Amino acid sequence: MAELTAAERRRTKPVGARFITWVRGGGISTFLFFVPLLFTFGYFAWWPILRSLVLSLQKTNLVTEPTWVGLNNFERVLADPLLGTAVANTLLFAGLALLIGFPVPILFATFMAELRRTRQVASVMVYLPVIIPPVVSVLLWKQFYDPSANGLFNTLLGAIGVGPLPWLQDGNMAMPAIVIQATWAGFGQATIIYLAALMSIQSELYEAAEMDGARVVRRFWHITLPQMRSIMLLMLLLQVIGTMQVFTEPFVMTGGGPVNRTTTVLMLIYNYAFLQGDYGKATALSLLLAVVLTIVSAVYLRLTRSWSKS
Amino acid sequence: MQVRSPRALAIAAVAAIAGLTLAGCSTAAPEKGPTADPNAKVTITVGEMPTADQPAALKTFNDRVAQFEKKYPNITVKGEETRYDPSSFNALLVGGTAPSTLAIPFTDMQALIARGQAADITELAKESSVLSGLNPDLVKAVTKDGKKYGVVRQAYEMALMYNRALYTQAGLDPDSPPTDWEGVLKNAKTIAEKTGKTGFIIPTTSNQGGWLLAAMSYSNGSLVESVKDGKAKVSVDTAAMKKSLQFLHDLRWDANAAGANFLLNGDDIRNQYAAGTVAQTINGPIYADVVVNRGMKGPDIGIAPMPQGKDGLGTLGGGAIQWFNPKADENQLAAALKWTEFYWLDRYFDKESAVALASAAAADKKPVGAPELPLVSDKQYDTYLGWIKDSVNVDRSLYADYLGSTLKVNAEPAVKAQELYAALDPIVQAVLTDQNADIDKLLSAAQTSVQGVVDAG
Repeated sequence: MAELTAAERRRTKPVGARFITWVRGGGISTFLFFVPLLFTFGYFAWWPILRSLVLSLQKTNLVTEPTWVGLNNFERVLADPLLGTAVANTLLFAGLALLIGFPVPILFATFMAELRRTRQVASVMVYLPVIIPPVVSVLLWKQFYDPSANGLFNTLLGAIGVGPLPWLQDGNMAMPAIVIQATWAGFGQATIIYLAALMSIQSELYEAAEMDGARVVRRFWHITLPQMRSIMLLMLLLQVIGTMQVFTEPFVMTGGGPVNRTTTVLMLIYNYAFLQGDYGKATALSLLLAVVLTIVSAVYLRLTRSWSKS
Repeated sequence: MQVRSPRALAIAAVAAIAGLTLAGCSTAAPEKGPTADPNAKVTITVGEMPTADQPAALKTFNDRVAQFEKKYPNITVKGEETRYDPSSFNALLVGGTAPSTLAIPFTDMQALIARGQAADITELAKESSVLSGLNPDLVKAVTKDGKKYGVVRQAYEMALMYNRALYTQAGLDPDSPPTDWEGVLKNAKTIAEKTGKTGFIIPTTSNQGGWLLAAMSYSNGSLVESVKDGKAKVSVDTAAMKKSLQFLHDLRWDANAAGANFLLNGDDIRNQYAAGTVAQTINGPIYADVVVNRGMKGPDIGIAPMPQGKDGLGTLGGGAIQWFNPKADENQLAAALKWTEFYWLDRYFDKESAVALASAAAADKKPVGAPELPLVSDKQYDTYLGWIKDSVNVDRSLYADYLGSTLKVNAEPAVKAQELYAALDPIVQAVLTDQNADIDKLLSAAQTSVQGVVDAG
């Protein structure tokens, strides 16, 4: 008969004895360290999620007694004619943000990695837009986007002979304008992260490539990008999840207009909750969004498992 | 396979928490006693306490609180500077930090009643003599199915607000404002040409575009909703609505007098009106707000009756309603009602409070005697004006037409007004931003979608 391993011996001891061993090993103090974390996450994250699950099955205004309506909230949300528009706009924002906002930090980081003495200053400058509170930055840009000939951007464009643009007033221009502002406000964060990743790439790789005659662009494409692949993939996923939940920018800049061209899913949720007082519909849509994002993340992570560095 | 799987434990834990959630999830409103006890000790919180930068008004407020507490020794009144703000009101109410009573605009009352977020004060109101002295037409705004849910404490009818200084600058006579929409368009064009400022614009976001478009529709001959036998019928696909939208279209694309910015809410418009960049708009008579908060000079403010089209139905009414917190208990509601009468309504019946409040407002350089709809009978209101005439600092002769207007004052749509306005907002934006907007198509789409929302309940 084979001897029992230490682990098997531990597992088959009676419960009481296992508990004493755990306590003797410092288990209680470990647990006490864990309790505040458990409490904070439980109270501020997990409990609200469970509660919203319950709310989504009720017709409630959180003042009077709620009534159970089962899946009626989900039906009403899916039947809302604005939902299609909101989803399309959200996807447009996410798509444009990917197109415009994803490469910008990578390029900036690559450029900054070449700097020697000025890199610190550049890091600070690049991060400044991130420090500005989001609403302040959005309101600032709303002023810049003033459609009259005296607006800041229109004055600058006027100097090179480009006519006053309507910016947020035009249905086709409004969303790209918002994406530009969002990119400006957020690219510093990603840049710093990519810069850190870049610093960790071995310089021997670049030296070897240079000796083989590779020029800047080829070095970038064949060394920099592959080495940064895992962090880029992660940032991409985080960006998608983040941009699908965009709210502040369209809410403050355009209020969802013109003609609902910048209404996003989060804005619909806000309207349901705080303008219509229908918390059931709001939580139902939030849950649907969460489920969609979870599926997207799961599929994404599965597909890219083989690509990222282990 | 592991014997005591941690995963099984985790699942059990989540199930336990879920079970507890479901068990404890029904948060009932506090039990209401059968009748209010007039002598029970009770504390109420009231909103609209003057802020620290209005020392005279704050002192008067505190004096009035002291007088009230002397009259009713069992009631303690705590003042809060809270004012109604649609973006935070719901959260305040749900979180339990809304005051016992607060002023809310007319537009939101029916929605709150429908959602059960306004306290039923029918029984309490019956016992009050002050409330029965109020204008019965206004009481309709706070009534649903025969029950009362609030007290109207300020009322107005929508007006054409114009800038007298800009009129003069453009060569127009500020004492003869236009009485129909063609006149408004003509003046807007003149002002835009002569001064470069926006001739006329209305808000287009936050449901306010829809609200004012509905008011324009009233003035052109149709209401936007009618209720018969408990069923509401929406009518936005009407000639009157088309005429109103055509007016905005012509203003923007033919006269080029609508300015350059079309994503404005009410706040933006008031700022621009006060700053003198917008010459005409429609709103309630926002005299106090633009003078006190936005730096406009009183004599520049012009208020005229709502322009009327052929077959115009009059104008839209608005104002402030004192709302009562449904989470308050019966004693608190009774106390809050007494406070409302004492602080807000007594002034029309009691010379001493009228003079005290008016002179404090004048001392704080706030407008006294700005145009409004009387809450009480005309005779009583004239008596009131007589009491406070020494403090009146508004030149009411400038607004004689508005004050003497005999236009009918219509109520807002009774069912799902906010959803109706929300559906009209994009149409206003479309007309102002797209020269080829198909008005008929937009209106019929809005008609279908709002009727659907109204029918869904």
